[in-house]
Amino acid sequence: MQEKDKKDWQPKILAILCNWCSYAGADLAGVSRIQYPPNIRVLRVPCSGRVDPMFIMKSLQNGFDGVLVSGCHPGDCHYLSGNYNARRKFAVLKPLLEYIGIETERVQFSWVSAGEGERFAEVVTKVTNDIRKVGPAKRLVKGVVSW
Amino acid sequence: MVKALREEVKRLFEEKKVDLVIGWGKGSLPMTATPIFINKAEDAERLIWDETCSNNLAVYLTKDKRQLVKTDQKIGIVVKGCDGRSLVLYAVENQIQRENLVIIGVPCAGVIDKKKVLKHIEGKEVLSASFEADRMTVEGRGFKTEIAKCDVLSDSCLNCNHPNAPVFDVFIGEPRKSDSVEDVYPDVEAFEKLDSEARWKTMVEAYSKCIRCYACRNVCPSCYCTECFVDQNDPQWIGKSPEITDTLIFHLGRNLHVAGRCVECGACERACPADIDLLKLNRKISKEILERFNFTAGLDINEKPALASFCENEKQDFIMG
Amino acid sequence: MKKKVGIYICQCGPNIADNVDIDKIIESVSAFNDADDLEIVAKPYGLLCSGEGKDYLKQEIEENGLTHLVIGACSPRDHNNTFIGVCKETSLNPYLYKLINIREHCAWIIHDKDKATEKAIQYIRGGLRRVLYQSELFENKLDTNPDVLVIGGGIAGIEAALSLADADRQVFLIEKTDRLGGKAATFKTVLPKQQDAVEAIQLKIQTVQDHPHIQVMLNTRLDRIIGFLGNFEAEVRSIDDAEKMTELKIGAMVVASGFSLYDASTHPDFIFSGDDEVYTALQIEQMIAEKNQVTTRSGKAPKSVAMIHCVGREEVGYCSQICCNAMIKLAARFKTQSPDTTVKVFFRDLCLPHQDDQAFYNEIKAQGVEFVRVNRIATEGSQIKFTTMDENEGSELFDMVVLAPAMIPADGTPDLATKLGISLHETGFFQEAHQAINPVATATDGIFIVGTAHGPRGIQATLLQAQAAASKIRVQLIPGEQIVPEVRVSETLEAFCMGCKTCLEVCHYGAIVFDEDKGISVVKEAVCRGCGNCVGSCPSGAIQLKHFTNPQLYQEMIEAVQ
Repeated sequence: MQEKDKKDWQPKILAILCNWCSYAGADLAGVSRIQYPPNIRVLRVPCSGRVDPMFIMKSLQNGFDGVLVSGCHPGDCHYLSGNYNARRKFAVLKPLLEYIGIETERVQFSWVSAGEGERFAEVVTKVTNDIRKVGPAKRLVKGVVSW
Repeated sequence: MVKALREEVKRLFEEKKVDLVIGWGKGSLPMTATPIFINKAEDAERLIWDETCSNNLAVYLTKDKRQLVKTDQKIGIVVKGCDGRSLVLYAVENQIQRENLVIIGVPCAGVIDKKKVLKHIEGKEVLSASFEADRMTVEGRGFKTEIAKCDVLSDSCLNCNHPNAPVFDVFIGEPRKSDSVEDVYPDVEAFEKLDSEARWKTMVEAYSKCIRCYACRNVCPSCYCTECFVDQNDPQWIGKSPEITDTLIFHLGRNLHVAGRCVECGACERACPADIDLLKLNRKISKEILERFNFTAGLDINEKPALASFCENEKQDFIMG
Repeated sequence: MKKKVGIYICQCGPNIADNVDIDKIIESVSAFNDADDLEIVAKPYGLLCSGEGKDYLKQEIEENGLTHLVIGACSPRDHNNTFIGVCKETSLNPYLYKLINIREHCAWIIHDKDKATEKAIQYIRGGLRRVLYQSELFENKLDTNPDVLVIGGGIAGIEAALSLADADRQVFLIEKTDRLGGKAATFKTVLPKQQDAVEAIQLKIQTVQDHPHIQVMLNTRLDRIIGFLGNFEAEVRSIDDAEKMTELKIGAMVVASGFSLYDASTHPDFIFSGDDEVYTALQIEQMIAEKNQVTTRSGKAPKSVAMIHCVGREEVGYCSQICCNAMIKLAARFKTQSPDTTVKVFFRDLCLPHQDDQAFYNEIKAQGVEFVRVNRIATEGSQIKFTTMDENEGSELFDMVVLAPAMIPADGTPDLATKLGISLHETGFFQEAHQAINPVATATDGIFIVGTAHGPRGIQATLLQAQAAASKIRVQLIPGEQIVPEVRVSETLEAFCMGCKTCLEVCHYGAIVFDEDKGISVVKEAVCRGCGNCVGSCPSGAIQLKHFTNPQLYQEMIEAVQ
């Protein structure tokens, strides 16, 4: 990639957010007019426990440069334990993807509460910067596989 | 050992403890054993138990393969460590009635991967094979070769810590020492040490060979869904062509579906016609689950599956601080 | 059938219009018009959540004959229900509508209007694609039973029963012993201000017994419970006569099963037998209630009393909150009985949370009660050995020793939790739905916990909680009114279910049951909260969460990356 392209390149990041904490945190960031990178595309789900790891792999395959999944902090799950079950799934998924050579920055998890608008913006900024650093996804991307 | 097994099975039939016994019989080709279903005492003579008995017989108790056995039958089943773990998994997942089973454990020192033997003799046709304590002898037209058994053991047996069924009703011979391997995942650890690009390259090279025959799935004792996610079309999780990302996502999806459920019997790898070391990914997951949740699939009938349970204060190093 | 999708973009006053080019959105989504299958009606509007906006939407839906509706506006957390309400007044099923948040997630967070617009376009297109995959869902109204079962006839259960019965709810009050009143009924005076409470509590008990809307069932325990908010069925059984079972139909339950005390005799530092002059604070309370004086076993008033706080606190791992005050109350009592009595209070930490506590404590100290802060303390009969905070050791013999053992969950609490299908906190008390936000409810709608069944607390806090639970029930179950359970719930796809019961493990609400005949899991829709945890955990893809199905989410996700 040319230096110029690199500068103009905007990563596309899927943000799967639980309705009760992280989505509400994103709302608060909005209400507080906190400016953060426009790169995320939010998918609202009731609970992080709803997230099937297939979605994460399919989003990378279909052109997202990164994925952020965010739920309620441990102990705060609106559905009591969905985030704990989610955490176990991610605890397996993330090392597995890393193991096959997917850059660790591409798939990230966070806990953001409804009151943490500022933190939500920080998380998105960090994920966006991380993914900018590793560049456009090439591995596991349909049609453009390369190393 | 084989004699004791046959006697025991005969006794079970005579005492009307079983209606059917699933075990291994001699295969029609050298170095192979075949699953056999016997329903009378005299057929116990057909049973064998040796390094060729690689099939995980537990699969015959899953719903899609159960046409071979009747549900109201009292079934005896001969199991190695990994097969026995599959039975524990089935009990945990409500797939079998434990009380209808007579589990016959046999001590396992590892089974051979026929593909490895053939590689060793460069694909020559084997007419006969025999086994001794730590080596095997293969003979064919114009050759006779001795091979160290450890060179042809199935990958799944190399670092096996569970050579005996964790649950059994009768055990033939002496159970082998369990948990004797300290470093269970040296292969995984070695691969983890490579850089990300090398890992990716290795994966792409390995999985490019996949012809999407689904033999790995079909032979897997933990894969017993009525409709596999691969076959679902809304959404179509996996494209139908053998495109590398679809292939990888198929395998990763399968790995994740059997996460915390895989007993590492190696059936997938032995069945793979493309010779992909499929266990590599399963073993990575098993390692994470063991390290993080201190859980090993198929050991305890009373333990919930790893991904269906949780501890509140679990390590969450993979979550942004 | 040709689909006709209405896409309405709210300007939200200047909130969206100023920072997102709405015309561009309209132009972009209009491109999806497809003569054969899909017609798009895309329009901007000033303020869709206003009265006029809602009327406008209704009119648009009907006049255009819309089959689907996408609204680009604010957060669904703000106005999803508003627009669901709009749809309900039209012929459009509300679940064929989707609200897309282009305000909080676009207009308000991106200064660059072009970028905000680009993102908004992708969102709206995602919404369009998703809504086409949505299905009609139909709300199912259920009759409810406003009657209530109260478990436990202590002060908590009594208060809850009265608060409900006074509002004309029929209450069934079951109590496992042969009398009402629990431990509080044995107290001569109650905190925080030492009021005489015997009569007040007896009056409450009498009122319960005489109340036309309360049926008291003594010597009775809960056997089994099935159902959900508004429609529970409980089986209760007589403890004396196992044959005697009563079936109750109720709409809600209040768990007021109380507490037990930590058994100090199991603690290695406290060595005593039944012959020693060692008592729990509760035993002293009972002694006062029975004969209005405190005496040793030989019948004499004690000349010296040691009072030891926090017995078992370290073992149970929490502060029991009320013992310090209870002990100070008893210390005062000893002084009233005979001002010459030497009273020494051995404590490590004092918990005096109520506004009147400090004054009372000061007053007691002024009366000559000695407070000794100790690091370690042990007893052998009434001989006390202790180490003060500055490591001085002491040893004293007293006429009487009074212990304040920790409050622990009542016997049978785990069994009751299993029967009710609700969780226990790590301390063994019942767990509330949310410690801070929802402290009297449990994870199961319609089951409430009050009093010391929930953890250590005093009478005042117990009564408040009982009244709160009763209020919640009165609001949730109004006689004659139906309830509308959530429709965005899980459902099992029978053909795919392998019967592995993983979903039963992960469902925190007990909303999934197993059909043994079919060998599959079945979702109890009225109990399901729609979290989708079962969906995320089902190994065979046999459960879907309505309105958040895989195809719906997948379409929305894929469109966002185009």
